[in-house]
Amino acid sequence: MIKHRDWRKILVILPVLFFRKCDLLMSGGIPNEMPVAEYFLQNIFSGNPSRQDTNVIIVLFGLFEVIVFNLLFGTHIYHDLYENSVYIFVRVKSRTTWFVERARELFWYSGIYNALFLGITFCLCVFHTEKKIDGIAVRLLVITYILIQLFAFFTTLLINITAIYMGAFKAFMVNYIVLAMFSLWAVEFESVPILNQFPILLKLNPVANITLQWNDGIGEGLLPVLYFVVLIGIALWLGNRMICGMDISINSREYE
Amino acid sequence: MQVEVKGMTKCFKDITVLNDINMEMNSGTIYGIVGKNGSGKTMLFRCLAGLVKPTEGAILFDGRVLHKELSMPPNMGVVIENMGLYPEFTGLANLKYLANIRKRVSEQEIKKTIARVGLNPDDKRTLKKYSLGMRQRIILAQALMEKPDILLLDEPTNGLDDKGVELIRDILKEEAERGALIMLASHNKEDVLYLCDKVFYMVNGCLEERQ
Repeated sequence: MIKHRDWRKILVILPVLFFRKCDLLMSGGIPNEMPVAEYFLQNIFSGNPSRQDTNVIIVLFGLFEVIVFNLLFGTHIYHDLYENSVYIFVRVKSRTTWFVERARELFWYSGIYNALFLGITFCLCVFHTEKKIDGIAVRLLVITYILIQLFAFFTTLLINITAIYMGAFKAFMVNYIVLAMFSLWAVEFESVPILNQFPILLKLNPVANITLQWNDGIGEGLLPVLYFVVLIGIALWLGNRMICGMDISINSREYE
Repeated sequence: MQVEVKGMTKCFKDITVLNDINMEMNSGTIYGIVGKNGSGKTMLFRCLAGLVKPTEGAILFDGRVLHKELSMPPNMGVVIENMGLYPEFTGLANLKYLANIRKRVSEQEIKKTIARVGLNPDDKRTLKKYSLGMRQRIILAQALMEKPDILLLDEPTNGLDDKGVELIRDILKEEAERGALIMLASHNKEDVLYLCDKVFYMVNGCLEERQ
């Protein structure tokens, strides 16, 4: 059951897109000759950064839609645990069942949110190019959707797990500092001597898998998908261990 | 159903909230826990409900150890906190959401339980528009709706008027006659002495039994 409150949060993507893609919306019917795939690629992050002219701020701004999703659902599991869980927990077969169900819910929300984000962006791009949709464009849309969906889910799940451990405010701060550090790592990687000789280090960076992937061609899209699946698996395992070991319905400051 | 608590202690850092608790309880009986605020009544209920893990000792349900042989207590109805339901849902929607976890009761039975605690099951108002007494009744309804073998009720008459208190007392008697094991915690001695077959007194995390 998707709650009204959650639907409202998911639909926040519509005004966000209106703000972010207003250049596409305002440019009216002036089509260009770019292939759909290329134009879509340019517009996913409103000016996809290339390695030559990027900095951390541009990379983070490029992840704006994902960061908005983080903010909207970063305390989804955390709040459910502290506010609504008592009467649920006495009914579930195990705590794992509860956690998996909440994570599944978050995955589903991330799926709808990112389908709206990328679907609308794709449609706007098709409307603004003279070229027709081809196989490359569809393949790019699918791979982009899977990657951004997994990235948004992974980061939001991580914020929720961190929030359960240290509180919501600290969790957001820690996660965004880590995100900024990963962005810096992605942007400055090639200028760091010795380390730049090990491209595997760049591939291990989740932010690099999202923002710089495109410059290396979409053929490599499946490897980051597998990488994100592994990361999500680790996050789920950690979250489950934490939920199974903790005291429920205890305000963390109650016995300090 | 038999519930045994053996040498249970719960500590938070250097604070001992429950100290060497030993109890044995059986079906069809109403047990009362009396104690001041902060004496450890609610913590005892949280442990029995499987929400909090004891630091030492064990809780057994029909001989099976909680958190070892059992992940969660079997078929239990709980009133622990005066919220914990979704304020943006109606009473019926909240109960349907919870009932969907175990899938043991029909919508008709849920409606009957809501009516049993003196509320209108077709009330379209969301919980945030309920009065304190109405919230307490809907929480009691969620605990009763699946006909649990064990009922843990922490201050179930909080926020209720005299008529409401009378109704809850009648319901608890009916539940005990049905065979449920009921534990009732209250700082109101009158409530406990009127209803309970056996009364425990909780003082600073320690338990003593009185007939």
